[in-house]
Amino acid sequence: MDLDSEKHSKRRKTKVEDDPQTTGMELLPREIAHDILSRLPITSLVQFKCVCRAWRALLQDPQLVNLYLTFSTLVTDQPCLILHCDFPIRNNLYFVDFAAHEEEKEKVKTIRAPFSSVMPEFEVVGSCNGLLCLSDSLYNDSLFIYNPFTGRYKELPKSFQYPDQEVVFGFGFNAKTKEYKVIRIVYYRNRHGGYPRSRRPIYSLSEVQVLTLGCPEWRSLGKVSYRLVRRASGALVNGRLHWISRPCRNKPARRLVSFDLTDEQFREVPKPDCGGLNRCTDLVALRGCLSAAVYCNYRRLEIWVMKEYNVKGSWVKEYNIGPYLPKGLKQKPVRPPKIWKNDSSGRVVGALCVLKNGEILLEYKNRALFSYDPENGKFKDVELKGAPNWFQTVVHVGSLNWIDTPSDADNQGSDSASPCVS
Amino acid sequence: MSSSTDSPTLTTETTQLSPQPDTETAKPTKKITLKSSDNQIFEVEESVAMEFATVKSFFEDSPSTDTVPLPNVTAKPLSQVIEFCKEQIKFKANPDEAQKKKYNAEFVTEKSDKDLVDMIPVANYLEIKDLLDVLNQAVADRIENKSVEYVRSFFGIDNDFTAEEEAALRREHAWAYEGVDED
Repeated sequence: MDLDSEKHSKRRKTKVEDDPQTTGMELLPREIAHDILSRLPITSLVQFKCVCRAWRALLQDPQLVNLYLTFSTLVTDQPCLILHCDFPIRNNLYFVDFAAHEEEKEKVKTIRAPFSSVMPEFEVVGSCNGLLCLSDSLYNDSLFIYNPFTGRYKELPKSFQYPDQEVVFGFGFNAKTKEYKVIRIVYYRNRHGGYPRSRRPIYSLSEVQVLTLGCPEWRSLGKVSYRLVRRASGALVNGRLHWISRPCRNKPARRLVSFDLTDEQFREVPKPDCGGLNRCTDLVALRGCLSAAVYCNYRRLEIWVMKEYNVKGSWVKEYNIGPYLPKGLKQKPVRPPKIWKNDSSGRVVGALCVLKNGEILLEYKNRALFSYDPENGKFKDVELKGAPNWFQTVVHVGSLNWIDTPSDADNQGSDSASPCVS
Repeated sequence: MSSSTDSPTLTTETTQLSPQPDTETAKPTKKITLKSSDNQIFEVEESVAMEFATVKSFFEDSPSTDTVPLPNVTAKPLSQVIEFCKEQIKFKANPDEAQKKKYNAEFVTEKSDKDLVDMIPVANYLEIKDLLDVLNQAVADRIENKSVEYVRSFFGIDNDFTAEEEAALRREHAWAYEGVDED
């Protein structure tokens, strides 16, 4: 620490003793300061770290972090969206906070990716409790946990890689054990196996790998009989991640398959009566319920919601959305055919979440956001000021959360985002 | 089914249990004296004073006293808190959520920043949960999306970071400082 700053802090100390009135919120009990701060949008929290030292300490207090997380996970109707763009070259993350600006043009802000030197290209595997799980899209063997609002990130231990493989990821939090888990469902083939002439490689073998965050190694759960379709995130509902299975010889109909983060078992979940899952493009959690977006004829989108988890009769066709083309997207732009490996072919409109006003937020062809009001059947474009042309939308929760594992406590001060000197 | 024969007897039993409310006749309103730290005396109706959990428990411990000293509370915020609680009593007797909401909103909008901040420790000390909630939200509304400088002046906070430290903190989350609301 240089002399100047030391002098500064000394002067400051005496001043506090002389005049306690200047300390503002520090005079308030900590719970009250927490209560006020927990009502603020995430951008304000991040900024207010540099109000003064006391506020910075306040904002790093695990109690506040938990309180804020509880608040923001309850309020799912004011999402904080993370936009991931990997086109044309550099990978960037952006965010839009629906809690911060209501009834306005949504401002899109760019988030610095502090790990870009180690992982220049990545995919978003999932978002849970304010943490993003990212995978290296160039080499496919690194995984990172990243909180875009604190800048903290951590590389996860490496898992076993097969030379020729296809991976379905899942990331979720187990509320019962308070553990985060990453699951890799790996489909692979032996070098000389498979059918060389088929257009799509057939991966006949599988292995399920699980990592509990904080543990040094991945565990293997053996093989899985379902062939799951890769999606950006395996909708987390009721402590289980969900995917749709591919049809195969002995199971011709697609299934709705869940993975329980507690007992680590795969189980089937009753399907909606939407005429098979062939046209189901998305599984999402809407207001905490497992929901399936089904793309129908004449560009119509049906959204089925399972009101009571695991109860077949509780599936309801909640939204029936007619065709809509967001303004300004009339002409077809040039775009490389495969930007995202996990992007499902044929997906036009993706369901994101239900907003405060009851409208449902949708994404159009990775290019625009719009909302649909089920009351009057009207569409509304969400103007994204400063958004990239192409993006993958991830419904996120803005928080200052971080994974509390014993191994993190050791290097808490030394991680990349910790502020300089104190 | 056998259970259907049981149910009528059950319902007759429950009807007998209808409560007999003992109608309280209007008592003469008792006044309670509150004394602020700057020695100002406030005479308030008992019902209003009982809104203050701290005062209430004071009376439960020593019912014979007639003046409650409030050593942590100055006169101005106390008078505003009393004003708020008087209104809340009316809403308690005559519930009207919309009207209450409107009053609460008006109560905070007409207060200065300093008044709000000064009232919070008072509401906290006197344990008036509703008011605390209203005040905390009001303060949050006033500082959300504002600049760091605005927040410092709002609470009268001195910046104790060195210029280099602050610059480093701002660099770290440069995106967050874009597009804040005007002060």
